[in-house]
Amino acid sequence: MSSKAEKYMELNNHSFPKDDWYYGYYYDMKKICHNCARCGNCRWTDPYEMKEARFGKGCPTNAYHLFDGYSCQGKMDVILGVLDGRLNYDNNEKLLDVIYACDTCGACDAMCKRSRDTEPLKVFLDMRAKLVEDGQLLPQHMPIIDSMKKEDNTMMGKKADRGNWAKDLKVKDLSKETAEVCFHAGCQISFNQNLWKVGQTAIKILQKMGVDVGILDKAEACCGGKAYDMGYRGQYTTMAENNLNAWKTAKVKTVITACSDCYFAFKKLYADQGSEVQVYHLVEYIDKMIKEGKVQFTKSVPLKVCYHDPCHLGRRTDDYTPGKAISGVYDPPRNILKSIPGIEFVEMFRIKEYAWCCGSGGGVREAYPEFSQFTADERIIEAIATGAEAIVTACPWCEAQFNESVDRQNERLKVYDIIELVDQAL
Amino acid sequence: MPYGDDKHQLILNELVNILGERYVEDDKAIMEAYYRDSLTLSEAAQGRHEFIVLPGTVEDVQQIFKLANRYQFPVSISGSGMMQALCNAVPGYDYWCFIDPKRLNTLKVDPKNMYVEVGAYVSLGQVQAEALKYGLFHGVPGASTSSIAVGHSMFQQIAWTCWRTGTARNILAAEWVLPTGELVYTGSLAAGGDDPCWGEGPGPDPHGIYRGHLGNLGTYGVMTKLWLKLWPIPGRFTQWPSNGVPQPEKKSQLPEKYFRTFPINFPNQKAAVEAMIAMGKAEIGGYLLKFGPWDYVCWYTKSMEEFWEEWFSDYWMDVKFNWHSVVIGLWGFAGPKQTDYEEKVMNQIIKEFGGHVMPEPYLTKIRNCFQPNIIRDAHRHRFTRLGRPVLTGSTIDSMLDTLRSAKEDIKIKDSVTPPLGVMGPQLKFWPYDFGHAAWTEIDALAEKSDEFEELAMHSITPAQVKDAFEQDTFYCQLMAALNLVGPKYYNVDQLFGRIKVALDPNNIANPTRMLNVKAWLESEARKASGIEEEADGPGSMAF
Repeated sequence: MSSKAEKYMELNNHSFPKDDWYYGYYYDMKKICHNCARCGNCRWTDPYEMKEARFGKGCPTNAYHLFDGYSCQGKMDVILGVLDGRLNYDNNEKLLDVIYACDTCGACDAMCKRSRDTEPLKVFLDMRAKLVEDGQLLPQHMPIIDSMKKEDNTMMGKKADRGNWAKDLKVKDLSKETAEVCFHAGCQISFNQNLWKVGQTAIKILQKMGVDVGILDKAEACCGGKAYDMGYRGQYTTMAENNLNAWKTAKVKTVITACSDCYFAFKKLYADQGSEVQVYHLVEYIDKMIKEGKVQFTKSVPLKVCYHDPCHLGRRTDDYTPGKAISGVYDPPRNILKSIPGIEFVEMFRIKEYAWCCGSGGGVREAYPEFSQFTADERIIEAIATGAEAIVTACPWCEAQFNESVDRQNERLKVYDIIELVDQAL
Repeated sequence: MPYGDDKHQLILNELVNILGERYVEDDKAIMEAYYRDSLTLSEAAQGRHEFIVLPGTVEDVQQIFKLANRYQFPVSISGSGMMQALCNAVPGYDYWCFIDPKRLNTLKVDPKNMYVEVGAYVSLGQVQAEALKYGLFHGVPGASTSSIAVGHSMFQQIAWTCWRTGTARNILAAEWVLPTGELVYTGSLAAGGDDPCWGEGPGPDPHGIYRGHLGNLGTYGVMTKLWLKLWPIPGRFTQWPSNGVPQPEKKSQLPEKYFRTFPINFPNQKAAVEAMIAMGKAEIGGYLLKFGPWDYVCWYTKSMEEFWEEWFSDYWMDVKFNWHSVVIGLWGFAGPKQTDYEEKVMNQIIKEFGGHVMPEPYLTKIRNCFQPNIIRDAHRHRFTRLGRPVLTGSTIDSMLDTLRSAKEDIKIKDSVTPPLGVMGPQLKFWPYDFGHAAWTEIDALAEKSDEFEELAMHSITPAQVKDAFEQDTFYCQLMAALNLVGPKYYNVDQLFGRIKVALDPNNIANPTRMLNVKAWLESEARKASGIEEEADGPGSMAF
């Protein structure tokens, strides 16, 4: 027992509590599950910020599946049941579903932390790793993992085609040259032709800013973040090592990416691999350049926009410290949008640490397409309710989800990556 | 429990016929998410449902109850599920079917007449978000805005603001599915038409039956809709002020001319209660609560570490043992002059009863938490930042009688301290209707452990029941223990017990406990000496 606990036990007449858990927070999977009080906060968005009942829910999984088993609280009960031996993998069809049909957005985690010292999302991710270790694999995940293993991407594309988005660009190839900054496109930009423009625009703008930037081209590998979120820690580690080695070889000091999933992996996960590379999301870099006066917007972009906070750029990047404010990259994109002439900026109802997910994370886009579509559709409905003409985001996965949703719902809402509006204004 | 036998399959098929496959579950992993709540009793009881169903309409709910009567299986319902044990809906019998009301989510505000129509699964946060657009609000309980409005109303609507807005009299009308599956409307809807707020029709109205702790979690059927009174918020602002900073640094500053909160220490329990009675007679305050220091410290500290630093600070050690704290929120419903006037009256009362407003920095720390959270509390279960609270006593009674009855509850707490944490001698309550009645509880801090859960189930609970029986008070932890009510509430339990039998002849609606306490205590005593007891099925009623 810690000396602090001993001191407090003495003050408390040696009665309660005996466990170090209560004196200073530490992570313990079972304790966190056991201490869930079933308060239900995890299903909703923050009441201080709730402006509309229609957009009051915080958890896409519970909103879609409805049964509490799929909520944060329910998952913790189920996980506790497994850890305590009350539930086993046989004869429980829905057990895998409960754990995997979650986009790991972290909205529940943010709400739970409002009044508790706890990390439910970490518990869910660790449970996925345990399921994978125990051989409880979701068949729908297999194509993604196979694609990562064989072709270094999550998109079932050919590795040889990875650099096609940049084929018409004059940019350093870091597999052959060196540069200070590596622009990491990520799997979605690399293999989704509709989003090539994001990568192309990013390079154009970085070069305009005088940045010594290169790309790994075909040698670029998936960040591994999706593998991590799905529970395939081994695969994630392989991808991380590949990227770290490639950066080392190319003498890269800084990595910039336009993908929030990659940003999360590099910034948060790779630190555990000993990475010392500085990591920026493009919005951070551009915001920095604006503040330093190195970017001047000369054209007006007359458009009413709202901004979607990608989970992996926001609350997922937080390094949890009990009592400290949840961090995330929320202000830079807003600063950028507000400094573009002509832009009329309106906030959505669920923003920043309470933003509603786009529905692509956690392997859900691939494994639970209906649920994924429901989540994206909800966000588009919310965007339309603000009166905005366009929804802007800073993640190609979110952008892909929203493009598909707008088509599905036959809406006229435009979907942009923030870099596109920056380009229009330069 | 013969899970999966022929009867189980039969019921499952019938439920699927009514609702469709998507809205019926019997998978054990899903059941696992519904068995426990915030209280130790549910964890110790370890009951499991056999079916979870999601009805989408009032007709669905009716059909479920009709099915339950036909095949004799128990049905219960919960809102957010935080208080299943307190309201005694821990599943204890075979084929237990739980209604998850998530699809019943109508929400309509009538700003002109100041009421809201809510379905069975609308959160108070949602009600407030919509009501505030018109400068209106609805009270919130300690269980916070994620409480479900209907569930909260069935639990007597014990909101923080029921000091002024009252309790379940804010229910204007109800759409009520009886345990037989029949449908009734109450309030002005009972007279026909679609106007829910002009009062009650001629003749008897069942308004009082389902509220006030006697009808919740499905004991008397299910409320699929309620029409609830809304109140004008002082200042009639329409946007909730938030500094927008990520929590836990998030702050909300209500306009000071309309909202002023004062935590006050009194030299003893009697002085604190009498001061509250005086404040009630003076009709001041938007809310008035008697809290123990644990609540204050839990609420304003942002981490476990910070809690313990504060809890064992000199100031709070002094308050814990030497003072009795009350917190009042002065609300200027009629304008800033009302707030000023009430502050003067409050100061006179404080002086008369030997109290003092808590000094800085505690005044500001508590004010910053309480002021906004009384309306939009998201701190739900802040006290489970560490451990778990256990109620070693809870009653509903007049404030003065609470002083009498709570003494025994404090003795129960002291008898099991350790292992319960030392909390000081304070009892906690929040009064209704300017102090005409109060919900009281003795909270104790407990570690989450098997040892403690055993203690709670087999030592604390029987002691509380025995004490309530002997003290003739309303024991709130077993809601359907209808032969226990406080001396100020006459023998209404006799009437309600018979109404239960009439409404639910097959005893399928949250049927667990219609307790003959004497018989139950004798049964517990036999179990303690190793004599095995047979479990009663849902059809039996020991009353």
